[in-house]
Amino acid sequence: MLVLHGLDEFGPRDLRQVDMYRSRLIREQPTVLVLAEPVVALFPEHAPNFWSWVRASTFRAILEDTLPEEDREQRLAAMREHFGFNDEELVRRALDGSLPDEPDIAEWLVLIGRGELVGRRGPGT
Amino acid sequence: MTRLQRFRAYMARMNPVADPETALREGLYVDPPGRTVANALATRLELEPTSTHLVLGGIGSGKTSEVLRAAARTKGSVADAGDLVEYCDVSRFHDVQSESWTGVLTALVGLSLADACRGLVPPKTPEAAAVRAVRHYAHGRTRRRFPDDDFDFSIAHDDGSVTEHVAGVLKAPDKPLPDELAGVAAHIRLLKNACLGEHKQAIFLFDSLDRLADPERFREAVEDDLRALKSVGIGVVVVGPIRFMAGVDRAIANLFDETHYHLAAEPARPEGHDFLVEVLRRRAGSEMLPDACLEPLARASGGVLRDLISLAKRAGEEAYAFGNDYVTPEDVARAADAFGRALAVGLDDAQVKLLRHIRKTGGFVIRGERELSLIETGRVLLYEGPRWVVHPTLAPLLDAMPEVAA
Repeated sequence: MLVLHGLDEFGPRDLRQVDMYRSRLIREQPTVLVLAEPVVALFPEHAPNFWSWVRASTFRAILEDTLPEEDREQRLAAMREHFGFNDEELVRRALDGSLPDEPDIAEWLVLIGRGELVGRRGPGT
Repeated sequence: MTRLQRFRAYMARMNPVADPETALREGLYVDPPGRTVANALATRLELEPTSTHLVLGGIGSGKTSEVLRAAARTKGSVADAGDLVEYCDVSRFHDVQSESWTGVLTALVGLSLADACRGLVPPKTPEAAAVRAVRHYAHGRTRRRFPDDDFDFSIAHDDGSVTEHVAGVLKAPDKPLPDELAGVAAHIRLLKNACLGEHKQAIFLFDSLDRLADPERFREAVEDDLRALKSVGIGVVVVGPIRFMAGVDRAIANLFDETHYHLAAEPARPEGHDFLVEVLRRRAGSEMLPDACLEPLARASGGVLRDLISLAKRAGEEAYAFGNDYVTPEDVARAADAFGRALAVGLDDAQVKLLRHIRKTGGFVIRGERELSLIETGRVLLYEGPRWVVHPTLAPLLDAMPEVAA
């Protein structure tokens, strides 16, 4: 995955170039463009073609220190039910490297405060 | 297949920026309702292979797919006649930011015919010289130049005087073609006859010129080239930006024999609804995208193909994030809300007022950039009639706009 940031100085002229050369930006792998809202507001006018590609996959980040507790519990409950095991089993499997390679698993580990186990391949790694 | 694998397969099929040629090859193309631009173009080109056409349509409306389909159908129809039909994405060969556009289309036709003549043209013939000339015209050449060689002494008379041309009082009604372009056109005629013979036709379909939203640059790209290519009997199709449908820029269409409008398929009409539903079904089965989701997606898209696929993709993301095993109507509703909010980004107060007016009355008069911008950015859609509507995901948000736009 490619994360692009630091483009908040982009103005109308830059965006028109992005629009014209948009074909060169197509990739197989996911790309995340992180932008301040004032720059995003320029896209429809100055890069309408590129905007039509990405506008359905636009997310507004609400920056808070923590996820509300109710939302966190709801999310954890959904993942425990889906995978069929609890947090202790999750940690055990993470330590021996037998967890499936899925984004939900990474999120689960982070939500229970064990983010350091994400991507662990086995004992001692 | 795991849940993740199923959703990944679904998301891969719902790619709004997929190459249209790939989508056609994979059988994802569905004929739009009514008389399609593809069929109208193909019929005209079969009957009048030297005619010129302009195709206009909104961003994400499927113009490229229609032109590709027209090229394929025309190729199939004229295969026995041996005519040449070529699709060309201009942006792959010429920098769209270039200051200079006159001669580009002609150069691309020349290169294509030069390639078609490979192996057919003996050396040291006018046709071989034509191949070199068109390649030089397209790609340039280097030559040795001696210093102080600016004055051509061969044209001086014995007494040292030189002849100069004085323009007459009459001005030719049609601007003559630039000399170099006229010269290349003559070479192209030779090559066309060499590789196709005098009785076969050549038709070229040029895509990506809709990136030239500046009408003067677009005019520069097509005006002289259309005349040059028509003079040697080559048919041309060009894709242009939607803004040429309305306002003062409509005059650009006068350069062409015919203009084709590729409009959104109206979801409220049965044929529009059926078309949009079929587009979705070609990409996802009912186990991932149940029937109950199809109509809400079709309605929310407003009939714009890219928006339809983008909404279906976003609904898939919502479904996955919520822990669902397939897309539900609630996922579609969340996707439509998010899409409408994205459409609202960047709207100013005057545009919001205008959108409310269109929503209330259906009336829309294009007076300038403000109105054209709403069309170009897909906030206002055009259906047959003509009928103007606010994008269905944006319309419900207009009354709460101060909060949405903050």
